[in-house]
Parts: sequence; structure tokens; C-alpha cells
Amino acid sequence: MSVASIQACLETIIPPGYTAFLRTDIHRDMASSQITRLGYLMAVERGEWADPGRLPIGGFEGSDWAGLPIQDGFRAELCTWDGRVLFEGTFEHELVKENNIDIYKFYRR
Amino acid sequence: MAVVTKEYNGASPTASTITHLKHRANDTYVNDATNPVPKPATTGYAWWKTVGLYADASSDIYSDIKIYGGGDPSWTGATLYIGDETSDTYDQASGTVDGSGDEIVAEHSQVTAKTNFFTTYTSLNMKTVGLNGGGSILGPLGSPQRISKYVFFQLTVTSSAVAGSLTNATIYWRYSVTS
Repeated sequence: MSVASIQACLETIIPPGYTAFLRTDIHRDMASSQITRLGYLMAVERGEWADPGRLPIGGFEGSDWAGLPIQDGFRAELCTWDGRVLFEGTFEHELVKENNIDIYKFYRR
Repeated sequence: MAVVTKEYNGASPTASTITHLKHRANDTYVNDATNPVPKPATTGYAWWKTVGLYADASSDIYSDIKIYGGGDPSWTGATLYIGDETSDTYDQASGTVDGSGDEIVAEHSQVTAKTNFFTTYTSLNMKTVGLNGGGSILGPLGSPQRISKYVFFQLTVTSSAVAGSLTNATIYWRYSVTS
């Protein structure tokens, strides 16, 4: 990443009976091999998987990404590029600022 | 964990890490001024290019490899095409050294159609490349290897082309990693 990179993290509390998955999406310039865009996709789904680290999770509904569809859980995607951040999630969320850091809090009502 | 672009040349083929996809009138990958693509009387071709995404051994698991352009460079008299098919089968580029390459749809064993790459494939419409071997996931890798299928490009040149080098255009890979 360049000096324009930013730091971001996704955290969740995993309810009993659910499994968490994490996928990293990388966009890389063919010429420079520099990473130009990063996406972190985290999902929580009801059920148990023996080796969830080996399972790529699918993208948002309607997308053509291959992978495990999330049907009874939620997913959140955080993309960073050019020092910018885009955040999407399938749950309601609120944005709060703590110590000059944007924190998106997802919750089920 | 390093992930790089390799270009494949020769009969075997030989894989070389590239920093430019240099279109040439020969089956070589080097980024210099030798073997320039000649300006044709009507239409001519650079020798087709075979590239792939290549990764070191690691515990990472790869999926969903795609490729797209960073915008149409609007080259005068020159268009970059991508073969509609990707494949694990390699077919060496052919043509006349310092002349025209063979046209990819007519001569490549894996390609039956081609598409204008930069005007078609963008961050909003990426081309699915697929994994080496055709599965939905690949990894962990015990040794360095090509992780994508081969992707085939060919530059088409017409008589309206302007002598000299084209401006650089950008090509991006996109892939997912779990670990």
C-alpha cells in the first residue's frame, strides 16, 4: 500500500451457534504489482463448518461472486482505496466517532 | 506471500514476471524497443500474449480471480482485445517476426472470439478468469505456481496508427483470499 493507505478493521461478536468467515479481496495493478484496492468481507452465518477458513464467502446478494451464500446471518464489507473507505452491510448500523476513528456498529433490532 | 503477473512464452512455456505487457512482433516478453509492431497497410496484429496470476507457496486460499482495465486509453489505430476464453491449455504465439502476428481467433487453439478489453471490462464489469484447475478454491499452495487460468490478449493495429509508443494503459487483477 502507498502513503495514501488507511487502516481499518472489522470486528464482530459471534453469537452461539454461528460461524464467522473472512475474505480479503485484492485488486492489483498488473504492471506494478501494487495493491490498489483492498476489501475485507466478513460474514456470520448460522450453523457450524469444520474449517470455515477454507470457505470463500459470496458477495452481496445479486452479485456474481462465487462462494458460500449467507442466508441466516449477516455480512459486512469494507473497501479501502486511494485513502478512502466504503462500508456496506446487510444489517442496520450506526456510525459513531471515537478517538477520531469512525466506528460502524451493526446490530439486530 | 507474493502474487505477481507472469507472461508465458516459448514452446514449453517459460514463465517470466512482467512489469509491462509489451506488445511486440515476436514471442518475447521484454519491455524494450526491439520487435516493434509494424504499421500495416490495412490491419495487422501484435503476437498474442499469454499471462497468468502467479503466487508463492503459502497457507492462503484463492478464489474469484477476475481482470479489468483502468479506463479506455483511446489509442489511435490500435485496440487491445482479450480472448473470450481463458484456459489451462497454453498455445504459443505465432506469426512473422517483425511482421504481423497471427490473428488470435483464427489461430489460437483455445480462443473462439475476442472482446475489446478496455471499453468492455471495467471495475463495474470485470471479466471472470477462473482458477488454475477449474475449481472454486485453490490452496494452500505447497510450491509457487500459476493460480489463474491463462488469459490471452492481442493488440490489433490499423493503418491509422501513429508511429511510436502508445501511452500506457492499466490492467488490474482482482482476487479473493481466505486463510
